[in-house]
Amino acid sequence: MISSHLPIAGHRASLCIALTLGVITLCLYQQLMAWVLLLMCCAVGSRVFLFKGAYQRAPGTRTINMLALLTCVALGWFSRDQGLLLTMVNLLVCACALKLLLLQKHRDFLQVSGCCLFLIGCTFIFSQDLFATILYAVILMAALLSLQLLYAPQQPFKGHVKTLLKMALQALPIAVILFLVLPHLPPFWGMPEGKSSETGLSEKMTPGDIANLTQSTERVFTATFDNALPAPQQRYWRAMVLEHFDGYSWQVADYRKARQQLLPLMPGQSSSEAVQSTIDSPAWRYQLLSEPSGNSWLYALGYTRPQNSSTAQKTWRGDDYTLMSRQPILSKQAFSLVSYPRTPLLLSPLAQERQVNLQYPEQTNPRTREWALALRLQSSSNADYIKRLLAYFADSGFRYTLQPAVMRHAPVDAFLFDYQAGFCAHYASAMTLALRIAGIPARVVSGYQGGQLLDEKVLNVFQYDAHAWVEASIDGKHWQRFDPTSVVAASRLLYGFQNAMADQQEDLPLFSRARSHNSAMVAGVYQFMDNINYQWNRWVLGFDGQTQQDFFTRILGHASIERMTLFSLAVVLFIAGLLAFYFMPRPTQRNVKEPLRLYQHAAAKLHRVTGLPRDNLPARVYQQRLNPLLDKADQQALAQFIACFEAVEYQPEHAAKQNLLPLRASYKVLMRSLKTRGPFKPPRN
Amino acid sequence: MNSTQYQALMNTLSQHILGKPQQIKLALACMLANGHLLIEDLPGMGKTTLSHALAGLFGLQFSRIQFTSDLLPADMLGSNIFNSRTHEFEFRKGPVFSQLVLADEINRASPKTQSALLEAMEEQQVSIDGQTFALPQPFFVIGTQNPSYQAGTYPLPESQLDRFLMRISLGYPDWEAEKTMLNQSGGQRSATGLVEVISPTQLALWQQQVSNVHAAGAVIDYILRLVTMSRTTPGYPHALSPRASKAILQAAKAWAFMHERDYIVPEDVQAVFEAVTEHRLRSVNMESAQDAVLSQRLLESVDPLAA
Repeated sequence: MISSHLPIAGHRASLCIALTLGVITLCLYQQLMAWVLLLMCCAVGSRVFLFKGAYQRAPGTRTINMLALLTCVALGWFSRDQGLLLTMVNLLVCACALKLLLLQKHRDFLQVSGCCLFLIGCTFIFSQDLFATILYAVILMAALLSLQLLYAPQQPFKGHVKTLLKMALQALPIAVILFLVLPHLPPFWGMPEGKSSETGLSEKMTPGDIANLTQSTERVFTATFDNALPAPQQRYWRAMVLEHFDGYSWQVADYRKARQQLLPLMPGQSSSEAVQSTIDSPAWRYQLLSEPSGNSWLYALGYTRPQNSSTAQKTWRGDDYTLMSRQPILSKQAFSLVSYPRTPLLLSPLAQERQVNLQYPEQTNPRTREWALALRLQSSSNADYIKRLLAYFADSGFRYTLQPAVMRHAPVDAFLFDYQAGFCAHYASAMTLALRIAGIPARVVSGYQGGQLLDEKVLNVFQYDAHAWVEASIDGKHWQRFDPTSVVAASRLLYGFQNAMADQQEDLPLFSRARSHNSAMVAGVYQFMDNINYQWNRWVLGFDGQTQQDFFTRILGHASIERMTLFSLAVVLFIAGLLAFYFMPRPTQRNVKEPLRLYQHAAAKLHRVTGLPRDNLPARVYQQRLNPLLDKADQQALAQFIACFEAVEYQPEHAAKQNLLPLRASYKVLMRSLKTRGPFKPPRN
Repeated sequence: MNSTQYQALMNTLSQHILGKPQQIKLALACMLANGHLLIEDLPGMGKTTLSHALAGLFGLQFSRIQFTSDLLPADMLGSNIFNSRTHEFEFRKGPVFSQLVLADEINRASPKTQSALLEAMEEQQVSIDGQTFALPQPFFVIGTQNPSYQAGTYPLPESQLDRFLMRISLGYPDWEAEKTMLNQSGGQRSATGLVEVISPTQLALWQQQVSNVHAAGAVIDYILRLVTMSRTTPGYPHALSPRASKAILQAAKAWAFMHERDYIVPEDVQAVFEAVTEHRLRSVNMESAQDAVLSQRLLESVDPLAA
């Protein structure tokens, strides 16, 4: 029986759920506000003290209600900066903490554990890699353990663990089947950009939203050069051209996307090929080995062409000179390329290109607009204007940092005039906007800058080398590269990212590859973990509707409706069968010795025949109760049977052995005697 | 057991204590199991008569100690007395040095005296001034006590109740029995009129045979399930100790022996279970009439036949 009021001191279930909530909250620390973390710590701490009996009284309902009110106000206040999702996560954690303080009744406990499970689900929004998954699975087990402690407090701890493991094992096949078979729906709502971000590329760049850029140490590609390497300051690997600006974010312009979809269908090269008149030497010939990224963009050093026909078949070049793979890169792929750094990048003849590269929303960043127009008026020419712009970055105390302030409203204004600290995206964004305001076509190019020498001719490029810079056209014919970041953090350009970050070393995680790649062992471990995580991403996280469809076709041959129906039916039946197998009452007689089994059979039969249950009566007493309900022959058979049973069960061994055969015989006699009787019918009123 | 001797014993006892065959059988089983007996009832229910009868029938040397609040341990155990002729201290044995001691109204004595008696019961010996004196064999104590809610009593603590193998209460006789009793000569019957039916040697032999009664694994398991149930289920203020499980087994053996079997069946366990365990399960502070009998609840919730 479960009493509705829970004990306080020494209640293991409460302690367990409190600790579980504490751990899951710590896992979410990046998403939570400091005061929410503190609230949860207090709640967990109070549970620990209550468990130890250090004090007896849990806080009262009125106190908690007051706290809840305060929490709501605070959450409402901070929600403007946090965005909906983070506010909701914070709200959930707050609710858990408060309920944890108020853990009085059985009902409360169920609510808290339900919320705890939901929180565990929430953590998957923020990280889904393999190690996180394993960690969350362990935490989930702890949450389930608390439920076990609630319902079976007497059971020893070992028994709990055994039950949990057994249930987890039972659930595993069902989970796998459902994962493979259930339709993978597209997400119901979009994920708002989190406050933190990792280095790397995406089709959208919103510098104002990012407060903490962590250095992802994933390798992006390896370039093996045939001849001399380009100098460090020339290693600008172009990946994407971001032309559309809405005042906050830069992204690939719609007309580009449209052309990207159209161009691969056309045979031959892109339209800009015709315009390209001269190709200047020197050339850099290299082999690009791309890691699987799931995207189709490639990395090109300026004007780049495929070296051979197989690469030519796999790639195509947009008229913004970006190089694309025709298929998303899902496994390591090699491309033979040749780049001509001296060859100018031309403006394409498309009218749209010029138009888009001058476009900017006039209202969003008014201070920047005013300042840029004033600066342009002071300048003698466009070239002079650009010089003055770069000088402004160099002389006004700008700082390079990976932990910039969040700039949500008028991000460029805030960056240029208020904070003056940011990373490449901020600089590129601000400069491009300033150029556009002055009527100079300009765009943000994102890609990678630099790379790490593996040996003389091999260059490794990692995600932390991701960079953004500016291309502007002063003369209206050629695109020219400008890198405002290099003005502020020149070392980043010359010596690579790691040197630039030398003074921020403490920001890097302890075992980051960026810090300690000189140790072979650590590198080996990293490689191993990278590989495991990659497989996980590929096969589990990457299992989407398309792969599912492929999977179906592979096992069904041809996914016709009939086959799919049959298959679904089979799966449902299989799962139902598994569940039935788990929950089927185990026949208790399996390990029961023969005499007892015979007796139980006989008792069950007698119950059916007479309507008198055996309950917990000893054999003799049951016999006495049965006697008035039986006729003479049955009585005798029963007496014989009971006597034999008693002898076998309770007499010393030699006597018991002698009675085993008579017991079987009397059992048969009894059953035969009872056979003539129909089942018991209760008398009707 | 010789059934004629047993019948004679039962008949004589039934003549003295009318209409209480179950209690008489339990008391006999208690003696056969070599355990002490506690009779708890209101005054005038025949507690003393029963003990007198038992002593007489077994031909045991009998003494009676009336416990009062001013009774001292020395009054019961005996004391060293200076003999002026030999100029030495001599030990004068107290009334406890008998084969059957009736400790009447044991809960009226002070705790000190109570514990002195209970120590003697456990050790089967008495130590005074560094000297140890063995008690006569066999040694039985029949304690009687009034229900504790009567005024002027010191209820026995749980640790000491545990020393009694069984606790029985006699209760009011039924209509017919009491009528017969009143019709008999004045209702007065003294222990002196009793003839020895069983010799103490015979009793010792029987006790030996009782301990040889076979307990099958199934029965031992049943007893273990019962005590485990009392330990793991809430609602039992005192769980059954290993001493209690030993007592259940011993009493059940005596019961089986009395029914001329050399093996125990679960019915034997059930028959003695209430008498053996109820006073161990129940807290002193619990009203004796409170809710269902705890031992009965245990019996109902445990299947004697489960594998």
